[in-house]
Amino acid sequence: MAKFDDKIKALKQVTTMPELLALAPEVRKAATSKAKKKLAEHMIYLATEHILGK
Amino acid sequence: MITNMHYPLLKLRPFFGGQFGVPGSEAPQGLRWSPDAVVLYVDSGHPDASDNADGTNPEQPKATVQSAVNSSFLTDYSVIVVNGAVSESVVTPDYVTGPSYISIIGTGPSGYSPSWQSDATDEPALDMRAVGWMVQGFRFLGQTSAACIELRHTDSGANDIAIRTVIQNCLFDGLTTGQYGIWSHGCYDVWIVDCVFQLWNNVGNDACGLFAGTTPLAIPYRNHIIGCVFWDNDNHAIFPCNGSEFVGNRFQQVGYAYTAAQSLNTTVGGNPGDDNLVTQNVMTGDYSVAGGYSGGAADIWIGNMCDDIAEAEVADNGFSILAPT
Repeated sequence: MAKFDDKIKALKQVTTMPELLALAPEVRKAATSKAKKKLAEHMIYLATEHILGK
Repeated sequence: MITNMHYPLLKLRPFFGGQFGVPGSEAPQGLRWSPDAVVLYVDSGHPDASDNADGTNPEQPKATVQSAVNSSFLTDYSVIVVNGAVSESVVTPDYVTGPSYISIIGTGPSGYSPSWQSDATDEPALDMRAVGWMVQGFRFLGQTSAACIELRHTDSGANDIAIRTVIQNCLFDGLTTGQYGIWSHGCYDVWIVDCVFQLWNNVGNDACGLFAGTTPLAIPYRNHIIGCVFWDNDNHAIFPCNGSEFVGNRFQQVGYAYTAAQSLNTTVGGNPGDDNLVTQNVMTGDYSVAGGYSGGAADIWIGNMCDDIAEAEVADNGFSILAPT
């Protein structure tokens, strides 16, 4: 549980696309349930929006 | 790089004065600052067309779309008006170096003109890498080893991201030899509206109108495929995605010339999609996974008009009540 939460927390901190590209597979790997997998996808989407800022 | 720099724009004073009753038409056009958003003109058939022109005057348009796309005048929310056939493979800048929310508009009265075909068999006609660009009113013609429009999402470079792209009122004609109409690499928030996909056929029968390929970051999410027609293709839409909608499209499984092996896949093995809303579409032919329709486990496929009432997922009145199995 903590590992997934840590990854989500880290996801909120990324500021560049290369960082996000490196972190996204780790977040998906840490998502052990279907609900977490969906949350992971949505958080990756939000992180992209945040980085682009447009 | 500063993309919103205001560049001085030099114009000769016009030979005509203002027009009565038209506010602003009398404004002198000497040395002035360009507005935040400009309109650039491209007309390959114009006798005075030149890429050395700044493109702001329709009487002296640019000769190529690529030149307009690369123009330093092009700031956020600008418009590129295209008249005349296009024979180019155009690549947009990435989202960092290029402007956002540019509209490329074909001036033909419908999706059948002007035409736009890549000049290389293995390069897309339009390679989109920036945020929020809109393409409207073209007849895209296929190439044997490329898509007409390729939507990048970190597959070519980390900053190549074409989220929020809008593609509307375009015809994607595979010419019976083309590979893909639109090829997405996972862009979010893409709108594909009122387009026609036809004659995507090749020797290997793996041509496809709407296709999601390599997706390094994520599969498409929050995409909107609305009011499109898919007919006479080897495959209509192989588009694994999450949380997207397919509304009001027409999928003709057995066409006049070709029969589609896959009509609509919102999930594929190894690239599963889920939670999509599929409704109000016309879905002809075998409404089953074997027949070429397949959705994610939590997709909603209700209220689609189907002629395959023999399936348990289709009510006797022809409306779907479940995703196909």
